[in-house]
Amino acid sequence: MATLLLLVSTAAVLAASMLRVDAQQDKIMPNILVIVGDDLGTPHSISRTMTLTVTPAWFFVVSWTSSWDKGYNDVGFHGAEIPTPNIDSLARNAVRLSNYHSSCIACCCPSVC
Amino acid sequence: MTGRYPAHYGLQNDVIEAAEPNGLPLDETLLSEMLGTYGYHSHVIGKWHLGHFSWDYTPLNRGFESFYGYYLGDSDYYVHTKSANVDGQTLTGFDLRKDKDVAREDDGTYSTFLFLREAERVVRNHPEGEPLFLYLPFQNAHAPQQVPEEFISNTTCKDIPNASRRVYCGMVNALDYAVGEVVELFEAKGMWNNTLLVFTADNGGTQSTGGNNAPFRGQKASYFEGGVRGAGFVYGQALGRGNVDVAGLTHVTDWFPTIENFVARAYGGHVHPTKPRLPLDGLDIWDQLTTDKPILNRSVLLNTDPISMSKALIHGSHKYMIEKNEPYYLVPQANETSATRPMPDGLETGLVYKNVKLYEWVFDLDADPLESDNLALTDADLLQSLRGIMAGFDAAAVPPSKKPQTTDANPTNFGGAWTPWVL
Repeated sequence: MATLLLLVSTAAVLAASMLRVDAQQDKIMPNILVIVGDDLGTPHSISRTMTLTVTPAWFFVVSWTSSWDKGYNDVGFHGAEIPTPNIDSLARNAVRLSNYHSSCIACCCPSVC
Repeated sequence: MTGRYPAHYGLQNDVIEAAEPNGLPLDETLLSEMLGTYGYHSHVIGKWHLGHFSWDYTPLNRGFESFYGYYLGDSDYYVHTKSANVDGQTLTGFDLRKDKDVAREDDGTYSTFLFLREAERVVRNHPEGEPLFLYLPFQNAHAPQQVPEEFISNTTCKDIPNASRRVYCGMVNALDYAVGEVVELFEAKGMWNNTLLVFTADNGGTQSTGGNNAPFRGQKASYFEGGVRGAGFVYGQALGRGNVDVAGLTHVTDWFPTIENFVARAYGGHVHPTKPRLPLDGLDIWDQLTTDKPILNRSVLLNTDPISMSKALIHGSHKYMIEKNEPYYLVPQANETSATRPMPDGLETGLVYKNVKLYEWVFDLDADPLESDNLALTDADLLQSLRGIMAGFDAAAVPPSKKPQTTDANPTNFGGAWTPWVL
């Protein structure tokens, strides 16, 4: 009887574990896409997670807001803003990290860290 | 890729040089390897730069099913050559591969187009219903300054008066074009709604090649914010929200644990790793991405490098650094090659590296994100306490694994391409 119970319970465990594997295989796993830009400066709109206003006299007025759109106006400096409509449109609907740091300074950190 | 600080595996000093027998240590677990245990198909398209002196260090041996790209950095966008000076000799080689094969046939085509072509192949061939990890480190907008003219002439980039800046603008615009195309590939395959996108920069731009980090101080290769504060965002339905800014301190090492736990939840539990795991330095920031839960005060090591004697950390809102003086780099006007606004020196350290004096700096990044008020000069208690935290990081760091370059790597020994030379 004890042996039978053992057999039954072993079979049950086995069946349960197989079911679990099946369940995992049925799960739709998320895709992960990591895109890295190399040596991107901060002033263009893709990195604009804060609104920065810079006057031509090179005094700073920094207002920390959450507006990606309004953005930082570097028109005063070089007459144009770098157009990044696709990244902007993603970023507009993204969770943006406004205080995001990489680690070492010239060793292509995202690939390493 | 590892969730760990470079100072914990010896890569804290500069980059892996073309002829340097060095690489990301093989006992590190890469994102690709971790995701592989959850059934992911991992592909890398673009810049590798994690070591190529031996095949063991190249992508196909590090959890990736395919590789299309370049082993080094800084190569020509069209002819894909890279030069290195070793023992007075200039070694030049072709640096573009499909898996392990040299991709000679792609000589002459701008890398961004090649990477897009490969991304299309990978997404098209990806088996339906199985998870994909696509790692896309684009070449843009690293030097050299090269871009197809249409990315300038067809956009507002053409109105930028400074020539270098104009080309840089085109290069960033080309990156933007590529991002749009990649999203379309995922959409066309019906995969986009189930994709988590992480977009990240690696470090600040370089003034001499069109980059600019204004209004932040400093640039690439400095620990001032212009060098280490970058663009980062996450996009995907799984987050349950969008159009939100997370203001707490986040770090590039956070991606590994955040992605691992996210995937494990979807899988229904953590999978036992196939090789021993080393302690992670990053934090799982999922709760901060998906809710308004604040990030607790944390200490982040930006780097510590005994060769250059420079180091930096952020503790709460305070940054501590030993670093050379850096000006503000202004966006140069039409005829300027560079424009700076110099700043006073910091606290003397007596340290000199390559004839440049190093100083101590402390900034309150919340109150002074532009790093103009050096608290190392005025707040001795704060300075002392931050030095103590730095000493702890220093004690936990391993020595740099930096090695001299060798002419054994000479591409002429390998049909003209940069090729693993240690068997």
